[in-house]
Amino acid sequence: MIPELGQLALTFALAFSIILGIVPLLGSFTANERALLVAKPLASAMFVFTLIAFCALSWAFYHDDFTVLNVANNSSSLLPWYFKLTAVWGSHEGSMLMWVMILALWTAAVGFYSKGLPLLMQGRILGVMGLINIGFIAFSLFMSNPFERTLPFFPVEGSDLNPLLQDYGMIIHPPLLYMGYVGFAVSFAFAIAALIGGKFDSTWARWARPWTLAAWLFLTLGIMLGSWWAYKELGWGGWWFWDPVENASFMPWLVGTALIHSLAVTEKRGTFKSWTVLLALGAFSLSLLGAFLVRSGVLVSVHSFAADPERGVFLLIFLLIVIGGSLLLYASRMHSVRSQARYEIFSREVMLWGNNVFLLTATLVVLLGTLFPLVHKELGLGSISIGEPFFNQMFYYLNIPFALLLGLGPWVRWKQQKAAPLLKPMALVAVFSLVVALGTMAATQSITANLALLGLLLGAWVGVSALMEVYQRLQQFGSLSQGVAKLQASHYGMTIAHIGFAVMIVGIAMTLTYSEERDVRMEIGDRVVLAGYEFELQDVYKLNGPNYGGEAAELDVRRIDGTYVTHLHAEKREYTIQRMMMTEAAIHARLSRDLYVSLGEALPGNAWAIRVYVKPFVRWIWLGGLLMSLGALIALLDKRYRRKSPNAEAAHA
Amino acid sequence: MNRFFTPFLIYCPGSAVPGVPGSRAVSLTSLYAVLFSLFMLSQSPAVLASETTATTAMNVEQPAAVAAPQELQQFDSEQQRQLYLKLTAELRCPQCQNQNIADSNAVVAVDMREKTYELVQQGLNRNDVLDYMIDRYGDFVHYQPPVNRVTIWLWLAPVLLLIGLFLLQLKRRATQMAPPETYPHNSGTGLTSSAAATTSHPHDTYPHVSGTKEMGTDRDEVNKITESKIQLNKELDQIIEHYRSKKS
Amino acid sequence: MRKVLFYVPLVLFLGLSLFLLSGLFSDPRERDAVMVGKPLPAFSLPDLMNPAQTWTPDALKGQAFLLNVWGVWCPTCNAELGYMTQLRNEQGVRIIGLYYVLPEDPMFGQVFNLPVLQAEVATKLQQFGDPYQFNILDQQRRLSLDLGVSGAPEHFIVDAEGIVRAHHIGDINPQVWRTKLAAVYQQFAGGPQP
Repeated sequence: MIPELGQLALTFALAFSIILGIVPLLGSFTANERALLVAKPLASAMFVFTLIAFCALSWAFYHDDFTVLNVANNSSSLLPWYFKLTAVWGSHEGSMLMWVMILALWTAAVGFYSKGLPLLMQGRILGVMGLINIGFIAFSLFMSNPFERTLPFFPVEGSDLNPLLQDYGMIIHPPLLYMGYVGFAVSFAFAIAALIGGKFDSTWARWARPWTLAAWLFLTLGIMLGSWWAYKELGWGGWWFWDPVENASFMPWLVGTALIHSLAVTEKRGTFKSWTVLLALGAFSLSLLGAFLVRSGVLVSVHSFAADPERGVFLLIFLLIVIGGSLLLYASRMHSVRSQARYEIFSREVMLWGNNVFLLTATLVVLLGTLFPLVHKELGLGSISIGEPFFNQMFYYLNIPFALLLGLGPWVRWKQQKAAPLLKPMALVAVFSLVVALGTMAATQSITANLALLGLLLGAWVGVSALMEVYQRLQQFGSLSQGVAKLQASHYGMTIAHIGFAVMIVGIAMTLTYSEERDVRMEIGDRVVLAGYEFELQDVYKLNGPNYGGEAAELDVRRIDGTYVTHLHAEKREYTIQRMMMTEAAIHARLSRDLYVSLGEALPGNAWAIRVYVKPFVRWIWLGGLLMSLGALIALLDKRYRRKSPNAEAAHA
Repeated sequence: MNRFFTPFLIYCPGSAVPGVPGSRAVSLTSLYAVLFSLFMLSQSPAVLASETTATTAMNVEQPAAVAAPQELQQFDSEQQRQLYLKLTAELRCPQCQNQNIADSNAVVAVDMREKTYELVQQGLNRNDVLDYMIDRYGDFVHYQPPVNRVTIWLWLAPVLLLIGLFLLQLKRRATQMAPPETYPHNSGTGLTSSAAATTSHPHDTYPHVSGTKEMGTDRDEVNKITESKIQLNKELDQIIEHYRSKKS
Repeated sequence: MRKVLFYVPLVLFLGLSLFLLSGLFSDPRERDAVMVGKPLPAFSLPDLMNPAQTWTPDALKGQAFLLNVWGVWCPTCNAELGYMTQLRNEQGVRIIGLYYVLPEDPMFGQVFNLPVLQAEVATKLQQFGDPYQFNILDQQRRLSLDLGVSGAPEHFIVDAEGIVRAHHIGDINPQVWRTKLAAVYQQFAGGPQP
């Protein structure tokens, strides 16, 4: 009964979305206030019903209702209750329903938090979001219905959730990631509303910024979590594979980063409008493209759901309508818009333009790397693969000018900057970056490892520059303590986010250069030495989990001088229902390095294959991501987004 | 001369050299830089004691003088081992859902790993091993595509995009040098409309007189009218409500 | 000119959609058949049922044949045995089997046991049909690796001089035979066999 109610709720949500997509937009053209006012309650109603549908599916999972096909395919009675609920989004149908609910959530949120928006604009934005909702709810309802029943026959036991997904990472990574993906629909709607209304002023940019920041925040967290989770879960110490689905989340992130910066320019200087609008359209378009790639079976990926060409065609048509339509609107409306602002070659505008350019080029690189094999094959030229070597090479070259620009950018004034006042601070930053970088290299007794040195240099350049810049800015208020109180939150946010980026680059460079691994055959009592640590295998015994068996290993870790470090527990699980082997690696995490041990197969002679890794600075990668999200959060809390009247706002220097 | 040396002296935090702008910042930052370097030095005995790195060592790994477990794969040199690791990371498993042969447990991946090990032991270099595998499984099995007339676009397209955007910016600079502004400068207060007057761009097809607005602002007028209509409707509703309550 | 530039994203997207559309109907894991046109790699492997006899590429030459990589552990291979037997009996297709042995799992105490394997194969062929002239035993899977085999079932059409003329990944059913392989086999087999 409950699943049917869920399906009914989804149908209601579809109805509301259709009305939401049509009425307020019509009202915006005919100046009908009532039509515009109805947008917010419609959005709320739509959200409530998608929430009901989602809860209905969760109920079915929680109560092991195997008469529902989705539950039977993705859950089992042996699963712990929290994984039963997580299994709700463990399949295509379920995760699509979560997407729908999150989209409705953002729509309702826009309805609630836009009191300062003119009614006309609010109506248009909600209307556009309603249109997007129609597409997704219809897709979920008609092409991937999660409430389908298996009746009259139903299995006694479910097929169990894929063991790879039975992990805490699965509980938080998809929801956060979807919040980010879907959140860019709001900026998309803002852009479309602006294109329809013809108004691209800084007020529009100011309203759009917090929504974009929020979406970007979630996406950053989601991607970081995904990376951390893969590292923890897969057992080989890797944290990014340039898998098509990973790339599908990375591209909106790159464009989203460019977007938040471009919005800053549009808000403060009234220029970069065509960039901003295009980026806003692009971010969500790439999210949609990502959804298509994951669910259509066009690309091979460890993440992809089962392929179904019919679904793929529906999604492609939806893509054509949304992306094609928006780009057509962009092309026909945008060329007549010109901004009046002028700026010199050495100005913050140009710095941020450079930022846009490099991020866009990086997006093109990822897009090419992901889709070129498909194009190559469809042209009949054969099958090729593009993976880590290509992406690493391109990003290595792109990151250098990008990081250099990042260090310089925050210092440069709007409109015009004379070079002379900057020479001293920049020279100082350069010197200290060298000190930091070379000092670290000396500590690691290696000067020839180019990548690590480069990463340290660039990271230090960006980090030290950000710190010095904020310090200098604080001083301009008279005294430090005065400055700390007066400096806007968005400035702090920028500094922290840029430092986060620096931390991340350092982590990536160090880990790529200095990671070590050993693959050894160990009997109980054996010891292996790696990078100054000694790992001793103490015991191996059989496992007996709720839905898995297998083996576990206990190891002691000491430094080579004998001091005790930690005790590690690694597992190799065999999940009984799906007959799948899974490694639960043992990780000892510190900021300076991770110790990572993974238990392999049993070998003849009462021994086991054990893989031991020492990965320096790997936590810095996720720490950097966290800092970037923190920066975005702090920037979101800036007072000017909570101000009701735009008149009090003065242009920032 | 003084100005060049003072940054390199460590002052008490917060102190400043009179007459040297930014010296407080400098002294603080130099302190932070030194502290940071000390932090790096102290934090990682593992990194300090790191015996070999990817690019330096050539010797065989000597484990400590305890029961040394057998490496699952023995190599003649560290260089060979690194080559093996590199190859198994860049060769793709032909059977799997996008995994390299190092991480996959599929039969064909295991076989390819063993073959790679054999070939590396025989002394083949990276290209030889790659050619060996590609001869048998095709370009699909290498994560770096071959460079030919078609795939060159993978590298060319981003470069061309960069160059193209730079040229666009230069072109914009050139046209910006032209006529003076006819509208007040956009100060970002949020009340000015977006599309300002045109420059005398020769290709513009809209007739313009100094002060004429473009299509974008025409729509802006429509918006204003719509908004005032809404305001009027609102006021009308209020009046009606007022009289209704008066009646009762 | 500026106006045209604004249409570039739209045009690029439409172009991409064409490829996405055609990509929906093709297999992204399809590999190129790089062995086509190359001679059989050198090998010297025993016969499965009669280990004393050794097979080499020269021994296989003289007549075109269909080389089938298979194993009893592979359900799809078992399913196609019937149709292949039909091909042998009715159309006189010369089919040679390359037996793909799975690695032993020490955790289950598995060890390679030839007599057991021979018995299993005999039972399977009796049950579903025997299309093979004989079976070559590839215990180390070396020949399979040299042929670019990634699993079972896979098929090669080899001509009388020992040059590979076709490589099909997947099972053979009437449709596959008709559309992809029959013509190639006919071309190199030199007409229908008596």
